[in-house]
Amino acid sequence: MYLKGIRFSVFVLALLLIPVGMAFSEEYPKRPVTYIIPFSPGGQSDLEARRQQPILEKMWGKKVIIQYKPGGGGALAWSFLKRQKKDGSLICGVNLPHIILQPLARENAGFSVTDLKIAALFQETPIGLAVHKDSPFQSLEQFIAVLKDKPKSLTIAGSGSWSGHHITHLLFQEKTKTEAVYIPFKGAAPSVAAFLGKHTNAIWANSNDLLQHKDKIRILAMATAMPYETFVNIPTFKGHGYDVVFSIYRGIAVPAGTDDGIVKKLESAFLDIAKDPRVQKQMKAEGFIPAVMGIKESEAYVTSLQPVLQEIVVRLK
Amino acid sequence: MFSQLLGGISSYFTFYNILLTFGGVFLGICFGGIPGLTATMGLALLVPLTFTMSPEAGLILLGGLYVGAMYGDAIPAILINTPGSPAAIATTFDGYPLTQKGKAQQALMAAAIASALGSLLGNTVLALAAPPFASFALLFGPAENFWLGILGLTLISSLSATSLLKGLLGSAFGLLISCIGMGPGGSIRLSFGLESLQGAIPLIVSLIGFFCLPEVLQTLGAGGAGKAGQIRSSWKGAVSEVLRTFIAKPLLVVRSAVIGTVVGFAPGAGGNIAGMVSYNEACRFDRSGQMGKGKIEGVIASETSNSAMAPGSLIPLLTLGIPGSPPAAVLIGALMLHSLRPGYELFSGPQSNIIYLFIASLMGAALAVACVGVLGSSVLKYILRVPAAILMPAIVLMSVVGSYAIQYNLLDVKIMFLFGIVGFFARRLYFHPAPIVLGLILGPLIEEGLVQSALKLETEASLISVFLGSTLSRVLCTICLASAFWPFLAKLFLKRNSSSGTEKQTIKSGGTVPVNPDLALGCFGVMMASTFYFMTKHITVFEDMLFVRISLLVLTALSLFSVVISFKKKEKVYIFNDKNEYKTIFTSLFIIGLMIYFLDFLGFIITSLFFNFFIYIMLSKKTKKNPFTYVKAGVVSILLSCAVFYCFQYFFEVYLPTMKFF
Repeated sequence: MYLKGIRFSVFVLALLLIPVGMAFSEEYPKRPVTYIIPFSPGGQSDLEARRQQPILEKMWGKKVIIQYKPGGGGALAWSFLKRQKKDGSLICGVNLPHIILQPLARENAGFSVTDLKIAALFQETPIGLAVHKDSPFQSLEQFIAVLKDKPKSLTIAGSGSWSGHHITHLLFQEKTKTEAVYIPFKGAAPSVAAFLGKHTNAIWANSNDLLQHKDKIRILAMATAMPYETFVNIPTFKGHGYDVVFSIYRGIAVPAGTDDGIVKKLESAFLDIAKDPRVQKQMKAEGFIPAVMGIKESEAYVTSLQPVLQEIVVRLK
Repeated sequence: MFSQLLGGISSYFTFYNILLTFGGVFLGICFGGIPGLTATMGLALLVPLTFTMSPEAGLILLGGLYVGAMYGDAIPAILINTPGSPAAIATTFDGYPLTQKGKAQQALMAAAIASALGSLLGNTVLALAAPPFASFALLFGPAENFWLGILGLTLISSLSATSLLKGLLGSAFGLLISCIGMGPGGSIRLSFGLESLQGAIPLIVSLIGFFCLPEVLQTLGAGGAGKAGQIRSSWKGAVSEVLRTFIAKPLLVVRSAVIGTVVGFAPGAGGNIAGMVSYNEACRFDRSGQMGKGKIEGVIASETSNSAMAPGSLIPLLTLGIPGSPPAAVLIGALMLHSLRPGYELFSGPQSNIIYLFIASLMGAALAVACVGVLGSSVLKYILRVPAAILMPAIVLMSVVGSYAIQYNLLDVKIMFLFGIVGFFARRLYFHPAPIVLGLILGPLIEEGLVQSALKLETEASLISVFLGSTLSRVLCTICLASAFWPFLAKLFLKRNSSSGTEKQTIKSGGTVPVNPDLALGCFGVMMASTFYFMTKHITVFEDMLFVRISLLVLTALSLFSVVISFKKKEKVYIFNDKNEYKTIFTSLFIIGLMIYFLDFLGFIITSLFFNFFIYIMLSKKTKKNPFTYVKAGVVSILLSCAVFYCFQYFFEVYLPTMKFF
């Protein structure tokens, strides 16, 4: 009799809680949302967030507060995110491959990729290899030929160690069976400056920088799977027979274990912005590829990327 | 180009544009003037606002903020001996002594006018000669940056003329602290096992710690008295004194502006050292031997130069799309969002009228700074009349908020506190914090240049071709040598007082806790070097270790030398004046420590309220105490805490910790 009563009351309580749980996710966001940028102000992640901020505020009717937590190539912010409340009140920009690479490259990164739940990826930045306009290298073949002839005779600038550029460099060396000297800089802007000043022979650069400086440089190849639509005439590494395909993705994440309803809300909000033709047009003009990848697609991409990166890091570290 | 500039100027003069400029300048002064808030943060905050404006209006507002911030950082430098941003460090050298002499108003006015002149001259260069200067910016590569950093280090010799050894030791501390965080090769160094230390310690946190907190402790130790001198001269008198200095020294202004603009070009060098370089030059040309003791010329040199740096850093930005400073990086984003693509075409193409309007607005902003600064100096000087019982807690609260806001990290607040304690005792040992901060600024620049050059060695044959391959690196190397040996040369050939940026604090004999300063510093250095050595022993990546090892070696050598010297000199100083001061300082440290410890749990308002209350009571100890004092203390504390909390939340969008258990 008593047992029945307890069972019944538990059942009733559970029933009562369902709408509470639904209301919880339905009403998101109830409070201002803090949007963490894992890099310095003025960087590309910041600008993307500043573009989204007013649209999100209009959509949600709540304030969106942008805060910066630069450091450790993003690891500082992501290890912080892991420890935050799982109620969606704090969201954080994420970059791929960074969130996979950092825990792989060093054990003290403070987070692992499973600690983060990606709600959406909204921007892709292809990487390309470029030399100066007056450089003797007219094509990728010539560049590789010189390296084959004299290994380590050329320097290539890039942004960061164990970063997207560094991995592309390592992939390039492996697939072409050559060796070049990778020179890491503290960010894309200083690497471009040093390259333009002819302090290195070549550069690994993001598509937006390649577009911006296109009059002063010659792009040898892009590390995309298909020819990149802004530079249709420029070959890909794949076209040359080298399987070097690598892009940087930007997106948004919450701590793993956040209510699915909230993650879905975030997914739809960020994908709506990513699909906005005005935003897409701006992004393309700046030299990016608008991406529209939701929870499932992002997860699939991370799962596919992880073994590849793991293999590279373990082998080359 | 000149006609285009005139066109820009004529289209700038509308009521709306001028209003925007003044708005931007006002915001900029706030962001620059509060240590911990930066021009970069202010700009980033305004960028979404400008979406709804026309590109012209948006740029005018942002430009105004940038120019305003370049002046704003001088205000705390002059009034409370704490630079609002790293660029204003040199402003403290003469600005604060001026305040102590009762000439705060003159210093503030001189800073505003110098800032405006520097900005005007820098912008003229930007408008008329940006493209040719842009290619100069590109000459700075790894080797050149390395030499530039070393050149910066040679400033120590003039920043610490009282004791070169202490200056060198200080910069070695700074260089090593700058290694905390991620190295160029991707390893995390010296993190003490803390995840939050993966990023470097923000410069502003060290700055607040080393400059601001020791000053507050000093005042608290003295019972809140004897902070600033009486302000004697009238507004009119002050204006004429400042103007006379400017008219007498036109060369000083031009030289400082040129230095600022040139240092502003160099990507990565940052304007942080522009002020120091030009202060150094001002010392070199000064014949009175009064620099560092409160000369208006010192303020002029520093402020002209750091304001001229801003347009300097815009040159590579606008012509090449390469930002020369962090705020410039935000501006480039704003340009792109308004589909203005940086490049030479900006200056000649169809969009050139926007760019020249922008430059004209920067000049307008410079004039606005002069107006606001000169008129505002009469208001600002009243900050010094605020009773210490209110001013001191307010400054501590600002320090806490400032070090927290930079990356919303409570660890930064604790580091600021730790540095504050170190800074206080260092100061009592006649050890000025400027060389430490110089080391912190230059460490990353030197390290990156050194490591990149070392990597280049893998391709090129010789050391010389990498480090001295270009004309610019040879020139910089020569200037380094000349600058390093200048004090010795000057002593040999020119018989005159060498000036100093450090002030000797007079400590009465017969205090408590006698210490031999050289011995203490030497021992501290050896301890730090050995700790850091064992913490980095396991790292094997060449890129991450090279600079750390070199700095450790330098620090060890200098510390041992200092220990040896100490036995010879047998100098003795007293850390505390008397027992009373000793007690007060430790009580204050305890209260500040408690506040920081409970900040996360109890929230900002509650902890700061208790803190204000205790400090207020402590400072009013000397006078009669009655129940009314406690009521007054309570009211003042509540008002102050809430004012700081809500002002930061609504005005600057800085969200402070709130109570956890609600």
